[in-house]
Formats: sequence, C-alpha cells, structure tokens
Amino acid sequence: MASIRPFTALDLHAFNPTNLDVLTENYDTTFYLSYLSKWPKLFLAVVSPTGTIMAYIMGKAEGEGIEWHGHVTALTVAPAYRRLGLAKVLMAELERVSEEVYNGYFVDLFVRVSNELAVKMYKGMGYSVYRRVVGYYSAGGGAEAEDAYDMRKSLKRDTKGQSVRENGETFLVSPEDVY
Amino acid sequence: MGSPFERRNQQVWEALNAPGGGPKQALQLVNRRLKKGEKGDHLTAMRAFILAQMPSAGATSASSPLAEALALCNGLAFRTPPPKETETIRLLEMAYIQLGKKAEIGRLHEHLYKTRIATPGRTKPVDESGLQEWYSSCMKACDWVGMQKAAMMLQKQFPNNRGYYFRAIAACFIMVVACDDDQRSNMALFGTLASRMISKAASEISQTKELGPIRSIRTAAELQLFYEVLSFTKTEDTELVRYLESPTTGFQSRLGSDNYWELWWLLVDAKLRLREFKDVDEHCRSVLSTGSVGANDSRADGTVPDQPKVSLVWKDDWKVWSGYVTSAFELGLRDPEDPLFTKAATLITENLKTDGPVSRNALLAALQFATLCNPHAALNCREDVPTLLAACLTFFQKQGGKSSCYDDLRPYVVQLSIDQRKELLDKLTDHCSTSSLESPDMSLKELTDAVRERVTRLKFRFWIEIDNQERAPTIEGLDDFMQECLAVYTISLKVDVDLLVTDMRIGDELLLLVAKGLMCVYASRTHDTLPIRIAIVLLEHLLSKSKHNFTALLLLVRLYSIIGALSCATVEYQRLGIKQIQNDSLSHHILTRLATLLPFSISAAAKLLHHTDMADVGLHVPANPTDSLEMYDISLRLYKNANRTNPEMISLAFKNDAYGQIKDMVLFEKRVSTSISACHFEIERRRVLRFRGGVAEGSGALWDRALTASTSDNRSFDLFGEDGWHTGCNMGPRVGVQWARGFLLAESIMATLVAQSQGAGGSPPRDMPSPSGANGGVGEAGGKHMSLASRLREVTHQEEEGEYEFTGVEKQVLEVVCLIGDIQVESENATRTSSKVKTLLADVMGNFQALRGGVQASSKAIAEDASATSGVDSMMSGLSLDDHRWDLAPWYCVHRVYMFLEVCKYILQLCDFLDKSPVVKALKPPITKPQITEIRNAIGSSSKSVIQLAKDEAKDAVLVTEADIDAVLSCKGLELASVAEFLNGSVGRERAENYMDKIARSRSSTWAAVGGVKFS
Repeated sequence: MASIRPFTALDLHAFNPTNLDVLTENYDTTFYLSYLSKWPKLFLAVVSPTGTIMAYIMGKAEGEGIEWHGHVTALTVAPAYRRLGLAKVLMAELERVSEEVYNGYFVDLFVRVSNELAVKMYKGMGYSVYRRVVGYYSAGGGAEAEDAYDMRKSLKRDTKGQSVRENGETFLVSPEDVY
Repeated sequence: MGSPFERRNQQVWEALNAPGGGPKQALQLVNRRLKKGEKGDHLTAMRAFILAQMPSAGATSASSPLAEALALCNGLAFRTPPPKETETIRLLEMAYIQLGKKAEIGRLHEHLYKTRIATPGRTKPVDESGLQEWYSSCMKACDWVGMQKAAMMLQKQFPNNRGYYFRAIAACFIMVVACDDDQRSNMALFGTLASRMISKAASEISQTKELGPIRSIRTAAELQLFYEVLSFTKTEDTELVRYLESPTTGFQSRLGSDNYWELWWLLVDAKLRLREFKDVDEHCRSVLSTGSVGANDSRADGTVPDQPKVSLVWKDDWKVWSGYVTSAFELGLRDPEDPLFTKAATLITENLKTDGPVSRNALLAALQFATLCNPHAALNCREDVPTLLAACLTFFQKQGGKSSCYDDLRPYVVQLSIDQRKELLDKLTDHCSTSSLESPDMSLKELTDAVRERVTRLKFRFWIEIDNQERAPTIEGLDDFMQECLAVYTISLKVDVDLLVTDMRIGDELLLLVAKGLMCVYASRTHDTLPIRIAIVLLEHLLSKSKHNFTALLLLVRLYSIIGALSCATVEYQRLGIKQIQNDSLSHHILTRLATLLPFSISAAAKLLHHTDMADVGLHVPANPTDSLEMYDISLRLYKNANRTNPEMISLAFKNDAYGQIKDMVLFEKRVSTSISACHFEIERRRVLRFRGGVAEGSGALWDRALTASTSDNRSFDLFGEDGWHTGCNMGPRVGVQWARGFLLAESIMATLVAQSQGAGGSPPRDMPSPSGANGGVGEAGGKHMSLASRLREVTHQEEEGEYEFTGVEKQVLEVVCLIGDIQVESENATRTSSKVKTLLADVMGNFQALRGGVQASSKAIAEDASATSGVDSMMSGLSLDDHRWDLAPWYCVHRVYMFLEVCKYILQLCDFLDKSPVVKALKPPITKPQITEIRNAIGSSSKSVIQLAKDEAKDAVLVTEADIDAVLSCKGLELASVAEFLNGSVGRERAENYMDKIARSRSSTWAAVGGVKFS
C-alpha cells in the first residue's frame, strides 16, 4: 500500500523508518523546512495508509538559462520497502513536477561513483553521466574523499539534448565547478 | 574592541554563557553596574532577561525572579514613551519568550506602534514599517494573536497591497490551527473570517486571461491556501465539490494546474464522503486504466490544456485503488448486479488470477475488496468475489518474496478468525514446501525469493503461534520455531553475499525472531536473565555481519539496559547516529530514567566503541559516548535552537508564499516547543547534576512547562513491533505528563525547603497555581491554590486510577517528598506546635526504612539470580510484567539504588531545614539537635551501606565463570536445543565468552558508578 503525497513538516517526526538507515543523512531541521518553504512541490513522500513514511525525495529547482533544472537533493527508501519500485515512483513524480510546474530543461542528481547499484538504477530510469566531480564527497572518520557522478536526464524543454553528453564519466570537474 | 558600554555588556553575556557560570554570575555583574549608578533601558532589559533564566523553585511568587523579570519587562515595554533601541526591544522579546509570555510581544509592538502614530507633530496617519515590524516580530515569536492583529491592520491600511491581504488570511487561519483544543471554539471566529476573505478572493478570479481584481486569487499558492482554509474549517462537501469542479478554482483550472492531482484527489475524497460512488468509480477507473482523468473541459478563460494530464505515478497509487474498491463495494451493496460492481470485481479479481506481473497496490486492492465484501451474503457468494483467505494466500504467493509482505498482509490476516489464521499458516507452509532450499537447480534469485518467502512465513508463525496472548506456546513449539528460523538463517548465508557494509541481510530477520522468542521466555519467568543474555549474544552475532541493522541495534540497546549493562547500551545507541530532530522522537529509548541508571560516564566504555564500523559511514564518534549529561545536553539543545529556528522557517515560508506548508510548519513548531521529552530530559539532567554534586535548580520557566501548559508527545514507540513479546522489553511504566509534573513538584518542594533553611524563602507551598490554571503564568495569581504537597499527592493518586507512569520506587520517593512538603506546611501552622511535625517525621523515616528494605531485598535477589533455575514448568505462565517483576530486573535494582540515594539527599536537606529554618526553631516544644543528629546518622550509615553494596555488586558482576558460559551455550533450563546448537556451532565459545565479558564489564562499571554519588 503506497500513496504519494507532498512531504510536510509533521513528517519530520515520522521519518525514522527511512532516516535510521545508515546511509540517509539527518540534516538540521532548518534544512528540511527551508526546502519545504522554497520548493514544496519537489519534496514528496510515499506513505502507507497508517502514515508510515516508506520513502521520500527532496529536491529543488535551480540554475539559470538552459541550466534551469530540477535537482534531487535526497532520495531514500526505508529498508523494509525496498525492491518495490518506490524510488522510481518518486523520481517520476519529481521529473513531472520539474517539467510541468518548473518548466526545467533537465533533472540532475549526484551519486557516489562506488554506488554501482544506484548508478545502474538511475541509468535504468534514463539518466546518464554528465560529468565526474572529483572529491565531491568529503570524507569523515578517516575515510578517503570520493568522486561523484553528476547524472542527468533531459526533459521536454531540452529539445536539442544539450543537458546530456556521451562518455560523461571521463569529463572531470572539481567540486567548485558545481556549486 | 567596542565602546566601554559594549565591553561591559560583553562581560555579562560571557558570564551568562560560560560553562560553570550562568544567570547568577551575570546578574551579579548587572547589579554591580546598577549599584554604581549606571542607568538605561538596555541595562534594565538585560536584567529582566537574566532574571527570566534564574531558578525559580523555592521562591514565593512575590519574590520569584521570574515575577521580577515580568514586572521589569512590563514596566519597560508599556511605559510612555516606550524604549526605542532595537537591541532593548529584542532583549524584551527574548525575556518574554523565556518567561513563556509570547503574547506580550504582540502587545509590546502594538504599544510601540500606537505610541509612534500618536507622536505629536506626526502627519502620516499610518506607519507601514512599524506595522511590518509588529507583524514580523510576532511571527518570529510565534505570537499568532499579535501577528493576526498586525496583519489585519496592514491589509486594512494598504488595500492595494495584495500580499498583505493574503497574509492576513493566512494569519487568521494560523490562529485557529495553532490554538489549544480548549480555545478552539473561541478561535472559530477567525476561521470563519479567513474562510470569508479567501472565498471572496476566489469568487473574483478572472474569467478571462486578464488579471482579476487586486484581491482576487492569482497564484497556485493562493488557491492552495483557499483549499487549506476550506478543508480546515470543514466547509460543506457539496460546496467543496462545486469549487473543485469549477473552471476557475477547480483541479482542471489554469490556477489549479500546478496542484492538479492533489486537487483531483480532494474532489474524489469529497465525493466519497458525499456517497457519489458512480462518479468516484468513473474517476478512479479512468486514472487506473489510462493514468488520466479523462475529459478535459475548456477552462474559464477559454484555453484548453495542451493535452490531458497523464501520471504513471497516480495510475497505480493506493489512494486511487482504495477509492475504486470502496466505490465498487458500495455500488454492489446497493445492487449486486450493478454493472459497475461486476466490472470492478472482474478487473480486481483478474489481478489475482494472472500469472504476469501485477502491481503490489493492485493485489492489495483485491485484499481490500475481499475484506469489504466477505461479510455480506449478497456479495460473498459471487464467483468474482474471492474469499479473504484465498486472497491472502494469493498475495503471499505473489509477494511473499518482498520484505514488505508481512506488513502489507497482516492488517488483512487480522480480519480472519483464529481458525482461518491457522489454516492460512498451513497453506503458507504448504506453499513454501513446494520448493526445496537445498535444490541444486535453484538460481541465486530463486533461492533468494524462496528464503524471503520463508522469512515472511516465519514472521506469521511467530505472530500466530508464539507471540500469542491467549494461548501460550509449548516449549516444543518454541524450540521447533527457533530451529526452523536458524535452519533458514543458515541457508540465507548463501544468498547474503556480495553485500556492502551498509546493507542489511535477509537473515537478520530470522535472528531477530529468535531474539523476540527469547524475550517471550524472559517475560514469562520470574527473574532469570539467561534468555536476555542469549538474545544479546545472538544480536551481537547478527550485528557482526550486518553492522547497521537499526532494529537490531535498538533492541540491543534495550536488552543491555534491562540487564544493567548501561555503558554497552549507550555505546550501541551511538552507533545509530541519531541526531537533530530524531532526538525528539527517538532519544527516549536511551534517556528515559538514564539519570537513575548511569548518571556518570564510564571512561572505559570508549574501548567498546566500534570505531571502524562508525568510520565506514563517516559517523561522528562522540568524545564520551557514555556521558549521560552530554547526552541530555545534546537532546535539550534541539529545543533551545528550535525556539529560534522554527519561527524563522515559518517566516521564510510566508516570504515564499508557501501557504500549503505553513499549517504543518506551525503545528510542527508547536509540537517541538511543547515536547514532553524536553521536560523529561531536563528533569533527568538536573538529577544527574545533583548526583554529581552540582547545582541543579532548573533554568527558569522554559522547561517547567509541564506544570502549567499542555504538552505534546512526539516519541516513537513502534520500532520494536506492536505485539506482546516486547512486554519483556519494558523498563517500567511509560513516563508521561504526570511523571514530569510529579518530579517538577518534588523539585519545587525541595528547593523551597533549601531556600527556607537558608532563611531566604517565604511561604511558597500554598501559592502556586494548579495545573488546571494552564494559562496562569509566572507569579500570576488565579486558579485554585493548594500546597505543593497536595498537588503532588494529586499527581501520584492518578496512579491509583490506572494512569501508571511511576515505578514503585519512584512512587515511594514521591511519598517521602509529599511528607516533607507536609512538614513545611505544618511548620508554619498557626498553632506552632511540633507534635504534628514529629509525627510526619516519623512517617518520613518509616517510608525511608521501607525503601532501604527494598534495596536490601533486591540485592539478595541479585545474589540468587546467578543460581536461579526456574523450572520449565513455570515457563510461559504469562507474558505480562507488573511492578513486582521489575523488582527483580537488573535495571530496576540499579534504578532503586539511585532513587534511594536521591531520597537520602532529600532527608539530609530536611535535616538542614529542621536545624536551621527560623519557622522550625519557633516550634514548641522544639525539635532537638540530638533528634536531628540521629536522623542524619541513620541516613549516613544507610547510604554508606548501599554504596558498599554497589561496590560488592561491581566486584561480583565482573566475574564470568565457565559455568556462566556453559549456561548460555547450553541454554540451561530453557530446553532450546536448536538455539544451543546454533550458539555452539555458529557463534562459538570464544565469541560467546567475549560478549559475556563485555556484558560483565559493563554491569560491573554500572554498579561501580554508584560510588560516585556526591552528598555535598
């Protein structure tokens, strides 16, 4: 049983099934609330009828000119609800909103290069690597910094396909170039 | 450096914020400046702000620093002319917030505004910036009443600014949203006002492409506010439908485009309530089959959408399926031959029959359909209506390999009779047995799915057969269950390969089931902790492979706590990486009663940390993971910060016109700012400070809200599952509002006692407002007045009415405090005789002796625990734990010792009071010094003997004998051969011994820590 709906501030008290997962970052409350204030249409949850947060996506609209796009800041699915296609549902809705409400050229996201499963999943959804950001994930606890792939998918407005490129894996940029 | 004035102010702030400093030092600095003749509004406001943070317990309302702070604030804020400096006004606002008087901020700014307008010689009748300041200051303080007043004035004075108009509507709306339930009827008027204003704005939306009147709705966000207001003010559904179908305000309108699907669902939902099932059926069927609502009428402005809105997400959304099933069922109920019902039944049932892939929601719709139709004879006889049992089985056959299957299916299995549940379980078993996990022909995927199916089946078996409140399982049944879990676990190791360190393994669920089974055993035995120790070894084994399984970690935290291995519990808790807002909903798992379990940090515990594991995922390793004070401070920091940041975010939402989010942001702010956990943690933090010999008198009015205001419970308790097994995991009754009130009152009584001993107090026990005066405030008269002791008795008597929040020893301690409060009151009695005081004193000592007896009895029980072998016959005799069971639990023994030491301190404070207080000295005949010395000696020797007892426990606890290890490895007396075999085969003696050593060291350090209690 899964329904999509806008994420709300009250969900911050109910998102433990997703946020107890070790790879899901717990941001400062103001971070979530500022996203809700600025891009409420791009912050979505999949919930069960009893209100359990099974998954959520947090995104924003940014960029100028042909760089105007929807960006996925966080996407997480609770461990108990994985392999059900919920990530696909949330991505599809974020893409729809980015296209219909924000009229963006593309949707992009950053993913750890080592996270092969995620890279494969996004490729399956039509995303391709646009560039590799060297040392994007600064490390903590003594681990080494890690590169990120900036993956993109064109939306209807990008009629010339300018948002994507072939062999983006070999196009290296530094983190400063993407901020 | 700034000016001398700024430097002097800086000194005050530094004193206020310095570790070991605080309001007292800051106030001394301010007083010194005043004494030297320095004057000024800023200094006065600063003094008020500092006073607002002073401890208030123990002072009369007249002499309370909080009352003085309020008087200073009011004197400054409402004088004419009012203060002008921004910094002074900011200090006043902060002081009012600290005093819990947010409403005064609105009044302050209203006064500032009106005075400014009335300034002689001023020509302008209005002051826009002044009104804006009034409005935004109230918003930042969450003074919704003040904000609404300012917003209404802004929209009235500046009719051409459409932003002011919509903010005024939002302000009226928020007043209703944020008010307490008991004020709801008074605030309804503002809801009506908001509804009228926004309805007018909706009625003026342009029918053409041109912009409408200045105050008409023009944006999607404003339209969203319109529906928020209508929904909240419970507008008639017929009217709601009219709006939602309207070409100007409806889901297909130009303005509704951005929120097309949300508004469409609002329409369907309203039609469901109106029982317009044919419409609902048509809408839902269209979306489920095409992803589109279908007919797109032209809009009011003559434009037509480019193409119908299509959403693949909504095409398979549970809400839509649920709406379709409900409408079909209702139509069938009216007429079983209704073609719409027949069509729906066919479509839904086909999903069960098809061999191809079917969505999870579609299958669940079939379950829902069967659940609704089965009780009705006219419907359940039809071929196209499946039985619920058959639908459940089919769902399992198709979804059993998903980890969500159990949670999905269980609400429907609950609807089956007991016999049907057993029949289903048999069928699940038959289904699983059709494939052999040992078959060499199975692919990895097939094997994975088969293992997952068995995990799901075993979860059902646990629920139906093992965790059964009505029919206790037999030992054979339990052993058989665990044997199957462990056998499947062994197979699961073949599929749990090539996993990342952050992944959870399929087999985790199986070891969790065995651990839960062991907790059922523990819950049914008197005081044998062997099942817990075995469960800990199993969970440690689980976590050695699946390092970040948070369910296992949380359960392990609880099991370590129960067994008295608190440093292990706190260390494992850190591995969960709980931070920020999670503290509000989760940190109670470790912080509840931690002040009476481990008030001191255990430096050796750092060695227990899993540094590598933490570094794997970049987790922060705390400097001292077992320092309870640090843990309480971290959690409390959330509330301090939220006071400032949440209103800022609401302000940001207003700035961005995110009207759809404001309601929930306001409710969220209210939940956090009134969180019951904040009160609990503050009480426990003060207790930790007292045990450490520090001053812990509280920090002004902010945390004492549980006494006078309504609170919000944001804690999450459902992470262990909802079944009965976890009764074995409970650590005392769940603390709540009464617990907080009880201990806040106890603190007030004791602080009053200390104040009177020092000759500083007046007669406080009679003049605090009762909790019923929820709106009463600092130093405010009104409401029913009664002594603190009477109020405390009122709280503890709630227990007798079934509202259990206190452990037995907590109640005993509060009873002693009540008697101490009575002594205070009696000392001031007009008769001025000591006879009643002496009687009460005897009662205090009688209660004290009873407490001491309890501590000694529990120490004997601990000694016996090692050799305790409850017979198998006594197993499974019942699953509930009452207070008598806790009496023998290891955690309770530690808790009882700390509560006993707390009461020792209280009685020593009573001795000081008897010795020094002028009111006691005036009693005739006097209470003699030898009498007081006798009490002191009794307390001294008792506390020493209890600390010695703790030292002995610490020595004993650290020893792990070969016999102990044998007992765990053989599950001695539990007759769980399968578990014993697993422990010996998979875990091994060496690792089991290591885990047990870890437990022993932690238990030993827990007991050793008792020796750190200071009696200064």
